[in-house]
Amino acid sequence: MIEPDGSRLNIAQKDSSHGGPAADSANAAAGHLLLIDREIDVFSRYLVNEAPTDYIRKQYSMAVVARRLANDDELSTFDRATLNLARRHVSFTRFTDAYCTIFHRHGVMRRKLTLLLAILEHTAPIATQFDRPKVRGPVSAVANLLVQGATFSLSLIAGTLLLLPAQLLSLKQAAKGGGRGQ
Amino acid sequence: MKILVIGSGPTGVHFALSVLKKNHQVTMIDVGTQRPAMALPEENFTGLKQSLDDPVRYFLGEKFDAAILPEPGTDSKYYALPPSKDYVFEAPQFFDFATYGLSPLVSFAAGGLAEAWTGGCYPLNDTELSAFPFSYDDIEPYYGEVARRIGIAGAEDDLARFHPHHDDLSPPPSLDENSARLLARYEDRRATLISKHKIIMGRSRYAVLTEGRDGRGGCRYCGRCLWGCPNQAFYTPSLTLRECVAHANFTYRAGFFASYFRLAPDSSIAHLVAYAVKGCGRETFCADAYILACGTISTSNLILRSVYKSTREIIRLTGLTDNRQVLAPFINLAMLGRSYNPDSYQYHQLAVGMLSADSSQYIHGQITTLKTATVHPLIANLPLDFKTAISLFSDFRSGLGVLTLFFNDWRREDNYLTLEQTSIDGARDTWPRLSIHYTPPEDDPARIDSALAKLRRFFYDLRAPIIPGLTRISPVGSGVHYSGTLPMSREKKSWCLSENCQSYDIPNLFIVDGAAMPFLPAKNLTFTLMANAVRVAERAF
Repeated sequence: MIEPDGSRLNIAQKDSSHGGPAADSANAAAGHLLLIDREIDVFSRYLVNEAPTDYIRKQYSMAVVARRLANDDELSTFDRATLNLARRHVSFTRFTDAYCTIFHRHGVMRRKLTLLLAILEHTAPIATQFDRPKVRGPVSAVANLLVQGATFSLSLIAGTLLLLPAQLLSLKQAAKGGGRGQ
Repeated sequence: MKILVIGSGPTGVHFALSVLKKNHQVTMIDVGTQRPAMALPEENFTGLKQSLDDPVRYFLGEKFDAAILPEPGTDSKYYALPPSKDYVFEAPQFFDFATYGLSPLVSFAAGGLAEAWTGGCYPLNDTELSAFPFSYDDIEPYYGEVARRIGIAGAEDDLARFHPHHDDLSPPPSLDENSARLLARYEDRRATLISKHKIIMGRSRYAVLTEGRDGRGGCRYCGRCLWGCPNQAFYTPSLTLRECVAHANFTYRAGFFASYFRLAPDSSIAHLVAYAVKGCGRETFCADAYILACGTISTSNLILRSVYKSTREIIRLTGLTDNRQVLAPFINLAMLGRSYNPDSYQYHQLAVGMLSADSSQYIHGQITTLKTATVHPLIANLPLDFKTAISLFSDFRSGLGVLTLFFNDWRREDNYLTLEQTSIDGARDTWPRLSIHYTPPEDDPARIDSALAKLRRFFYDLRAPIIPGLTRISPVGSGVHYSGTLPMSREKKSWCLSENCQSYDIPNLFIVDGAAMPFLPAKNLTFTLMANAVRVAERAF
């Protein structure tokens, strides 16, 4: 986006120093892009243990816009809280996801994770994880079921400790103000 | 005889092919949206993801519409039609409708809605034909004729008691391992399962070639069925349309929306008025006989508009029916921890039939084991976080399947199509739009619950339990088996058809699509519609 002589950069800096609605809007857009970039990185590692490729980044950035999930400002207080927490680290994504799958199933975070999963499952070579998963055999599969069940339970407890107060608070605010608490 | 056929769906093309063979002159009017070019036809399903420049665009669409998200206030779905089938549902600007209780899918594609079908081909038996003005023996030769034309795979097994055995069934494709293990378990305990549950299992019947013929390839197990068969082993009506186009007596006029019939004073059709889909051209078409074959919704719309144009009267066409569908995912425990092969036939390969004291209340089910269907809706539907769900899904995927249940429907006066005025000032030159009214049968929840309870026990005994909490009742209209608004009737009644599908009201009009069905059994109806269209062509022309 920078011209060889750097003129574009200078103009942007000038606009920014003047402030005003245009600069605020540009800053907000840049902020959203940074958040989405951070989000896709964490979410991709969470879902498939791999960093996203440039192709996946580009697809996800377009997808959240197309499916109207790009702008945090349009979200409810609790949806923003779940996203802010989930973006911090893969572990927090898991805690948040475990909580949301039970108590906030149609929330924005799960919609975003589903959207990214839809992209990942159709993009080689990550798609192989879904099309030709490793075969464990029946005994290991049952063992994995137990381990995963226990991990989910612990994640759910952690998620509840982190998010239940925020959800109750946002519900209370919504009831008071008739706003977008949920 | 000059014959004008409106619509290129399964009934239109098979009717046309039959009358062409009898040397009639046939013109077919159609919007005829064309299928886009097939992407990389030599690739299999997994190869597509590696070889396409932009696989996400191919699989999810330009606007990512094929990603199924857990949206608030909506029932979660397990699959959506892929973007490669979007053309099937593109509608011209002239077509507008309002719905009350039923959301229909309507197609204006060359080949019609069946361009996106799953190929189920089940003949109706005498019990299911009891409301029809003909018996199974009368239509049986035409089932055979259609089977010869399109290629139907199936086996004569336990299910033959529900689906009579007609001529020209070809051997079915190889079963995938999940289906094979399920069927083997059933066969091991067959007598016990039937006597205990009154449920029978067998091979599906479906329109696919296992060996190539007539310029079509045989199934090569590439796993692309859902996305569009690249070597035409899987039948769609556009293949028969291609056959019609090769006839010297056939004229295909694509790009026209059939608007209304101009009715003569003696109630016969004087001509059809059609509008060019692109531009604003208008053309009239004259013939000795007019054949409506554009699907129940569009056929009814054309009749309603014709009556309105002729008399300014808005009538009702009652008796709209559709199969209620229920999707019940299950897990075949015999496949736990095993690998699976995505290079296999993708649609249903097994079917179940439920015995009932009242044989007209037959319930039909199709079993689709999941291989190349998109996985994100299934994973998102599990009551687990994504990390856990993905890990478990990998272990269980080879054993996953979905049972799709069909329930019958019958004509009721309160389900109808009509026109409604949309203009505020009631301007006389404004077309009223089509409105569709549908209420499911009162006993719908009870019969669904009862069937599901029996099937849960049956699948449990097959060691393939139906997964709790994941069963979904599809929204009304998802069955895409709309029918019944202009039914055949032995009795001469207004807005009904004779045994040969000739209108009692408009003498030079024949209706050969789903609108002519007086009863909708719990089976895929397309095969019967094709056979009936051939029957009408042979008997009335």
